[in-house]
Amino acid sequence: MSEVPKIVHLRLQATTPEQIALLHVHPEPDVLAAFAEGTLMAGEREGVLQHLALCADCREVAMLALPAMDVAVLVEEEEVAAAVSSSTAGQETRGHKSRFAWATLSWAHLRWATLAAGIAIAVFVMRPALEHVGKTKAPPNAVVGQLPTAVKSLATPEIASNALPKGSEAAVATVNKHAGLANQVAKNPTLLPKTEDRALDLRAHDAGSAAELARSEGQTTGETVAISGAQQSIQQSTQVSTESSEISNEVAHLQPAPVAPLGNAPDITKAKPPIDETASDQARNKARTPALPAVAVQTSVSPSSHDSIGKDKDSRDMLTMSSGAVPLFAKRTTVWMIADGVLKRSLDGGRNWEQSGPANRGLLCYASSGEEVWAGGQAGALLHSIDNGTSWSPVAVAYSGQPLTSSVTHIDVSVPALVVLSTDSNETWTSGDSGKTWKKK
Amino acid sequence: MSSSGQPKDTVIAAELYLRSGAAAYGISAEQFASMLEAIQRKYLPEASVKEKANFCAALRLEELVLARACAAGHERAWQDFIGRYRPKLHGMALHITRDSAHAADLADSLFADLYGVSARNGVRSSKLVFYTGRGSLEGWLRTVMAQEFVNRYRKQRRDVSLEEQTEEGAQFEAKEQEPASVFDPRIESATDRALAELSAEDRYTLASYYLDGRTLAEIARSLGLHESSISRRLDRLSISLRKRILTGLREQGMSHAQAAEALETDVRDLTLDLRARLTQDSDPTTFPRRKIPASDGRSGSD
Repeated sequence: MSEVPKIVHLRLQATTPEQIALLHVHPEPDVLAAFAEGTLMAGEREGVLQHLALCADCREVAMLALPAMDVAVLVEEEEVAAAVSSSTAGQETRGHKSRFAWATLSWAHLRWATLAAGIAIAVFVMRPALEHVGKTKAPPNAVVGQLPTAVKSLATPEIASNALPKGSEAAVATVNKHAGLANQVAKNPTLLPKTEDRALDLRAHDAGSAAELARSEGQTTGETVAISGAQQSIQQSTQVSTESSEISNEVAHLQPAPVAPLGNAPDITKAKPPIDETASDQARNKARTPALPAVAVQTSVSPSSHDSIGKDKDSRDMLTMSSGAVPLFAKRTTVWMIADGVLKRSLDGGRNWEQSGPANRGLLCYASSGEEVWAGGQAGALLHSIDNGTSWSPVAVAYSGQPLTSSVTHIDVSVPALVVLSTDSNETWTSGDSGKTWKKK
Repeated sequence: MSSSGQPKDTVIAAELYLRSGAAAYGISAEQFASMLEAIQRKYLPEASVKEKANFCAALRLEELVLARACAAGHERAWQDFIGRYRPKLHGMALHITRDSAHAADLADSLFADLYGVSARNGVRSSKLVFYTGRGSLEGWLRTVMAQEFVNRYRKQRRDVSLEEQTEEGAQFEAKEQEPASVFDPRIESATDRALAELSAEDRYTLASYYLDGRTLAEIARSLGLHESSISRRLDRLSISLRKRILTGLREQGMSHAQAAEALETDVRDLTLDLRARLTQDSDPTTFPRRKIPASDGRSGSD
């Protein structure tokens, strides 16, 4: 960042005679709080800013009065800072040190690597499902040769030969070959086609924005691919084109719970039905356009269903993939806050909020680690979610027959599987087994 | 109810009264209306009925009545307040002070002020009476706590004793004199004019970044913007300020080269180590070899 001349530093501190009157009228805490929350009227805000530009004490108060942020948002801001600083000719953002070594990589590398990792994880999770897929019929060899060229650009884990039905060894070999290529790409992103580097705004995390950005980045279009076990659809395929995201879409689509319902899309998350039955039914029931390959098992979701599906990030990611765009990264941007004892979450970086969990527990604190979220409150209330707040379970906290009765004021989950509670009576409760048993200090 | 006495005001006030839940805390409709009127007079002394109605509707009414009921000593209000906010005070204090001992002290001190421990003329005086619902009660509590912290820290710095300072190795130096002869007041006036042309938000951004050392993230959060917006804004400001100052210097009669040189070589940009230049080692030959007779008649040898 360019520096200003030193004279500017000095004159910013000086007060002209006209500014003296403004300097001595300090805004009240009410007004400063409203300023921080963005609820002042336009004219008032201007007046507060004029004072803050002159008064170092009030600036300090205004900064100190900002609420503490959720760790996930803090980490995300640091990553954006790293991306911004790397794109502005080596100037470092003041005061931020990246907590992760990979934040020093370029944004394009991160994007591809995250996409590859997300697809790899999805396929890994789907392996048990894939074992059941297409047990009755083998895919036609015609499909094997037509497996998507765009698979080459994907990082997919190699599929074990026993994951696909008999007769599909060739398919397995091809996929594994492509997976190997994709894994090479994941390790060395320079193998990927160059795309324009761009420092992403946080708003691009939204599924819709991600879709648009992905399209504008020059993703190949018009190709879809299925490696799912939809045997009937594979038999009927005559033409394969690939949109790289479709692989993960197909795989993710067969993913068992926990994934939130898709709204208008078929709900595959409620229970764990026999995968072969579900996949076959889904394959038969999916609508296919003539231009698309018959193998495609696309979710038949209309654009309007994005809204009806709501704010579940998983659902929106899947929709994004099914619409043909590639999400730039699968990372969640959930922001949490507690207001009036109710835990709220935002899945779009703070723009929209919804209640998460029960409203009558007098919640006071929360902590999240990945998809796992803990919330604590009055009278020993402790709730646990493993699906990013979609569903919650109460946790009984007790040690030697004595339950926790004081209010939980702080939760620490920075160490995996270790949960540390602090209470307003200066007690510390720890659990090394994710809340099953507790010890009290 | 309202001073204008129009029916629409009455309806709106009644709706707001119901929405606020003031009745549960023993606040009558009349008391509620006069509370709103006082707040309106403070912030919107001359406003239309519609503006006043919108203003009142935007207030945090539930929290306002809770705070005022607490200030009035309503027991149930205090129970609700303690249940909702007492546990948060320590967390807020910890966030502000970054020190658990000071946090506890700050939180307890604020709670005492909120409760109205100090009585004036026999009447309990609670800080909660000053909350007007413009922002959230939690935000107000954080701001009051931050103010208290800044005041305490400032007072502590002033009250540090000379003995402590000496023990810490502080040396009391003479006030630095401004170098007189190389100062060009034209640079100051050109800079003042350039700064005056900036918006308040731009000046606040510059002051926060260059004077307070705030990070882009902190500044962005305080303004409700994205960090990259602040980064771009600072880049733009530094370039435009330089241009405007140069333009101002040229308008005062300098050539472009002179203006650029003056801006780049302002005496305050020079890092002269005057102390090092003025201090010199004593030369042993400076002192005469011949010993000077002592005043009491003793004499030394040559």
